[in-house]
Amino acid sequence: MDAAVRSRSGTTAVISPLRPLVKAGRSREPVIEAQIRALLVCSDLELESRLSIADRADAGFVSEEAAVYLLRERHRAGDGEGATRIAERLVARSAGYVSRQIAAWNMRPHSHADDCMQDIYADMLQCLFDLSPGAEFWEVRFWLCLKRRVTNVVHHYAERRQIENSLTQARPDDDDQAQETDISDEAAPSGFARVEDRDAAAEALSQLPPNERATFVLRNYEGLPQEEIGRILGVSERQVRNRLVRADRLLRDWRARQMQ
Amino acid sequence: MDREVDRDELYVRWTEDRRAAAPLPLSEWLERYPSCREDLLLWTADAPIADLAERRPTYPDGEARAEAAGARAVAEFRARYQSPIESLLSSAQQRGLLPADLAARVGIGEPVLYKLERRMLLVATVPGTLVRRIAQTLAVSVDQIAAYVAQPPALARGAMYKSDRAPRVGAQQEFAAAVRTCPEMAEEEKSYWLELAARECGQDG
Repeated sequence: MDAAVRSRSGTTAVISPLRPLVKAGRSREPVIEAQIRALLVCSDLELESRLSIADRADAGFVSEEAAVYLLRERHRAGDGEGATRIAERLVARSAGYVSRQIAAWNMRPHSHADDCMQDIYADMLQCLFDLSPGAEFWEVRFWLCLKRRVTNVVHHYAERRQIENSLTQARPDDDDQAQETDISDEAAPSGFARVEDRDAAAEALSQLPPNERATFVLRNYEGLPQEEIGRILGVSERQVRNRLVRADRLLRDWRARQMQ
Repeated sequence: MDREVDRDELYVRWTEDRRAAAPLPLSEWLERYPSCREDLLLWTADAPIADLAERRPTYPDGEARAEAAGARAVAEFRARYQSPIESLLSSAQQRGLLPADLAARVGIGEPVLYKLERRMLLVATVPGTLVRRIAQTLAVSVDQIAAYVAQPPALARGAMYKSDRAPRVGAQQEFAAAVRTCPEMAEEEKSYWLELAARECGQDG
């Protein structure tokens, strides 16, 4: 439905319908559509001013989804610089979120964290400027699309870190060796495996190699039995038990270091 | 076939389901979306850390460092997206990719890639999906790749011509024909691209 709006000069203008989302079943929230329509008749200066409003309760606040729509429309129209300025605003908005995610992964030294954050933003920019239907979901759920990118990038940096810290990287044949300590599904878990203090456990999880972390989470957060974990991960129950033993040992070592 | 499952949409559905009163078990997600198995396992394994991050503060200068990292990414982005592509293979090399790597990542045979490099394929017959994949792999814009392949065809680089007459570029070919005759693509890959070409460019699969 066309929307009749009053332009800056005071005359009434009719603007085209908003570009629909291509993929079936997707829709924008009405409040976002209303924001977009209001912004389409803003001057560049007004838009810049509204994009810098950080208070979400402010009537002039522009949602990230609306900002992405405008960015893509400018890019589509060939205004690359205008689109990039909107991207800069989205970077500023998301800096707190991205830095908290990096902090949770205990990424040290800072140069690794900085490189990781730069890669996250490079990925985000690539998506925002991708006009294919595959990238339009950023106009619907910006923060979850960003969260997925953050998860992927930090995971790969963490994997690389584990490879560099090869002392903690399990050799493939370690998985299948008989261990002195066995963990049954009913056995009492260690302090971390109990996950009553979930935040402390979650903070320590970033220190685990990927295989051990996945096994530990499936056991202690998802509550799956070892047999099912083995089936899901494509490993034997012995390998599952060995990974849990190693995870437990690594987490206890980490906690001991934190207490020193 | 869930080969083209939108990962973002799946991630949103999976995230929201986790917050539901009775979330689906992981095994159910893995059964419904087998091609997304690695993603689903990654999201599950890393979820406790990502959830923790939303409740914890960042380190003292964290937000400023994130803004600085973002500014560097934007600056690189501006520089990269403003310059025309001179060669797909050179752009790949700048990102540490050999021609074989680029071909493998976008899912075509090297002979087809070389034809794209030399603009020997009729641009209207090249699927947009291929253009997007190349753009994403080289971290440039779709417009830059599209502009590159739309240029006139070029002679093979480093070609030595021993002829009394000036060398001439051969005739351009349809993308589907190039795929059909590519000796380095598996039948499954060929079927995939021919189906896409038929759908996106109206070519015969």
